[in-house]
Amino acid sequence: MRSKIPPTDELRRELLSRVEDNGSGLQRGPGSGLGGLPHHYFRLDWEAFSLPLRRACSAAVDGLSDQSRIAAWLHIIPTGGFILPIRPALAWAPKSLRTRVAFEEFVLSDGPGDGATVMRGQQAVRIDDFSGGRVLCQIHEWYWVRPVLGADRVSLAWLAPHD
Amino acid sequence: MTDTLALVDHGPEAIRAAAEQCSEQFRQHPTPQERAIAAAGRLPFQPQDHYGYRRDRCAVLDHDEIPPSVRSTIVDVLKQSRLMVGPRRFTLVRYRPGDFLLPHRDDLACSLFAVTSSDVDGLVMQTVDDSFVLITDRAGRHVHLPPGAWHWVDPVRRPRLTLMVSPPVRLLDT
Repeated sequence: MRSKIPPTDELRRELLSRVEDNGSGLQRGPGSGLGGLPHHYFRLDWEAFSLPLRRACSAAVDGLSDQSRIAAWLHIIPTGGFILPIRPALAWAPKSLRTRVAFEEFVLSDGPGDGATVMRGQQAVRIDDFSGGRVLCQIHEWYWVRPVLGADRVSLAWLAPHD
Repeated sequence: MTDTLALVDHGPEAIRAAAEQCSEQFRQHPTPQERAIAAAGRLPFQPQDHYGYRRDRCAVLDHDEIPPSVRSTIVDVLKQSRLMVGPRRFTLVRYRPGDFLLPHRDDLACSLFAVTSSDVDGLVMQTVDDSFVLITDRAGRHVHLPPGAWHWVDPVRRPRLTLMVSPPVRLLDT
């Protein structure tokens, strides 16, 4: 999937206002990472998005639609929050699809020094945040988000069929 | 976590300059041989099994390889910082941009001193309440790393140098 020139400010505002409108849809990030320890982030699932929000997300990211994505959600990591090392496709995909999906993330916030790290083979690759940035993590690879130093980190995350 | 222990103001510069003098003696971790073994085994990174440096990328100068003059500089700086120094083992760890230390745990406690400063690079470590913090580098800053605590260094943006001291240091009695 490719991203168009992303209206990230607009999308971030809309996502956050949606969360403020209906905080009940926001849940503490499920599952655990490294050593069974809990992550520290919040998540709003696609199913809780309003129709306009779904349209905005689909417009921001080509192909991110009800048909093509397996799961999509909003990540909000508050200052000091983190996602521990995890293999997202194996941890967050439905069991039957675990070995056939990749994880992607569309970053909607900026934060000097903040961002994710993914393993690519033998290499750890640091991907610093910038609004409109993309993170791709293949099926068996590890991914983590270091403790956030700046303002809340906001991103749209999804699992999509692996090519 | 960080605490009131710290290197004396001129300490980081003195250690950095001493390390620079023996920069050729740092050993790359993993060595090309170790990396080849890891790659040949086709074993994916598994944090639970990750001990040692086989999949990391940094350069290390272990205690026994540190030239006596450099070791002497380190001891002087620790003494001037009023920190207990003997008997202790020192390890200098150097990172070039892009170098990293993967998530792992160590069996033994140690003291870590940042020798360089950065607003974006540093150590991520598990805290006593099972949270995690990113401790950005401030030259001279001390971090006590307890045994069994998960920690790592994300790929760094700038050259980074740290001094590891084991067992951990403590303030000299007044």
